[in-house]
Amino acid sequence: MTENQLVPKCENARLEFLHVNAGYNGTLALEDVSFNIPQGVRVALVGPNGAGKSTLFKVMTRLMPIRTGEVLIHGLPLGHHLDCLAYVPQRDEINWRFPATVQDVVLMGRFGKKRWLKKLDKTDIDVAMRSMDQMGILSIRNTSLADLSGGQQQRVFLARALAQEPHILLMDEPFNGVDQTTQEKVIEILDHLRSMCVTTLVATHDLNLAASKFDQVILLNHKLIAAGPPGEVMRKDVIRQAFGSSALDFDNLVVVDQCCPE
Amino acid sequence: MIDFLFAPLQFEFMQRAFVAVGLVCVLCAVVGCFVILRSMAFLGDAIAHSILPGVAVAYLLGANLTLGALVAAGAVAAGISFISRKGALQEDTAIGILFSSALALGIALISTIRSYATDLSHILFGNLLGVRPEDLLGIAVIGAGILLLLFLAYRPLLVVTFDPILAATLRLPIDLLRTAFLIIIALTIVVSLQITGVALVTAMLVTPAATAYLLTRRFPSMVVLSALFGLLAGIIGLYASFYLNIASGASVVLSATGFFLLAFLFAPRKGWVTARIRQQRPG
Repeated sequence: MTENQLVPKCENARLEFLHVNAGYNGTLALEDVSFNIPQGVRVALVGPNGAGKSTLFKVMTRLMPIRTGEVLIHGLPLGHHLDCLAYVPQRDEINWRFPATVQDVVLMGRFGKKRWLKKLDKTDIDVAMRSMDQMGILSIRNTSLADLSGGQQQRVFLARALAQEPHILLMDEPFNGVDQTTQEKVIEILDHLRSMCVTTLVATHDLNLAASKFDQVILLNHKLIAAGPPGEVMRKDVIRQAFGSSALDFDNLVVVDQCCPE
Repeated sequence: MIDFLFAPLQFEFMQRAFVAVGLVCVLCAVVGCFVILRSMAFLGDAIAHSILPGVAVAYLLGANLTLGALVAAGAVAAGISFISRKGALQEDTAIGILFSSALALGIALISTIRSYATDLSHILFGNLLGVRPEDLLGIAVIGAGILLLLFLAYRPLLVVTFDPILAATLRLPIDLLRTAFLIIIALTIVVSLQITGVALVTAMLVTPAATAYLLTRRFPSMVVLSALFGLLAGIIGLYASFYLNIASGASVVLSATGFFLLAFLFAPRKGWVTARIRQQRPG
């Protein structure tokens, strides 16, 4: 297979949120959120704990229904495009004691392209192998999930997401508690995905990375506070508006004081 | 030795018991692999106990006992998902309330029957030696149906079990799979009723699967090993029951527990004793 088959078409592809309201019971986790992201752009999703970042991902994966508003991918409502999304979960969302090897997990990324009984073919194996190779985990493909380090765990799920050949990749806190090598690997993979025109949405606590490594930043606190290039969004007054009293102001420096979720 | 093995088989009821115990134990062991990995052991227990009032009502009405059990299992599974979905209570609290209430209701109903003690003990602890040819047919048909269903939906069930969010992004029918799996558990428990009874069926769902889990690193081999342990426990338990004159359901469960203890202590990677030995000799 050629590299071309992996690359989705760049034209007419975008992600839009139109006045989205979502949440359980009485409270709204997302309130009137609207933004527009062209395909192939790398976006950091930033906001205080409980600001609705995970809810936004859940809405996109259709795990949480939208109350009102619309989410469009390629201009079409959610659910139209098969295999459009891949999601890299936070590490504590996974049952690490599940009896599976690294390769088993990565191959699961190919299940969406298959009917339930159809065997995985050579293309599936090739894509899985290449994904593991890109993440530098090919040599540990027969290791059980339970024996992996934190950084390796993160890479396994990135490799699985790559194997899904997504148009949009969602990552929840990929920089939390991983080693420097893995962090660099993640950035490297994000560069590679951008060259393949894959849109990436990364929820992160790391404002520094958000400002330096991303094309756009979405600042969220239930409502959309700001969206745009880091230079516009990562300003003192805007940050303070999103983080409220947990933002401390030292002259030209804003420090956001928040505990890590773990 | 040959005599020892063949002596029980000269009785027709024992032949039927062996076939029945083999079928049910393998079925429970396979379904159990999914049950323990989805942390549904408690739910399985709840469904098993909630079957009691259904069986009792069917008995009082002179209706089919299996049908009564199925209706009750379905009602409780739906009740649990309703109570916990509203978000008012944790799921385990909902399960705790429903299954103890169902058990009490079942006992209350059965206590109005005159032959109370015998009937209750058959439902609670099984009546393996009283398996009739038509029971055997029912077990075989339902068991084969469940195994076929698991085979057909193996891949989506595996994904939902391991990572429901991936299942969502792969557009798998998550709710359908969840409901289908609840029905599979309920059916498995209903066909196991006569073998191990309400009180002990959870053991056959959980113990062989847990034993296999300790010994493998991959899901397919876990299923195969679990089925093997289930089958062995069933056969050994039945021999023990025949020669030692102990209740057959209990003896089958205790055999499964024996295998589990061996694996728990001596499993090559996860065993308790093996780990201690490794600590003594590092490297």
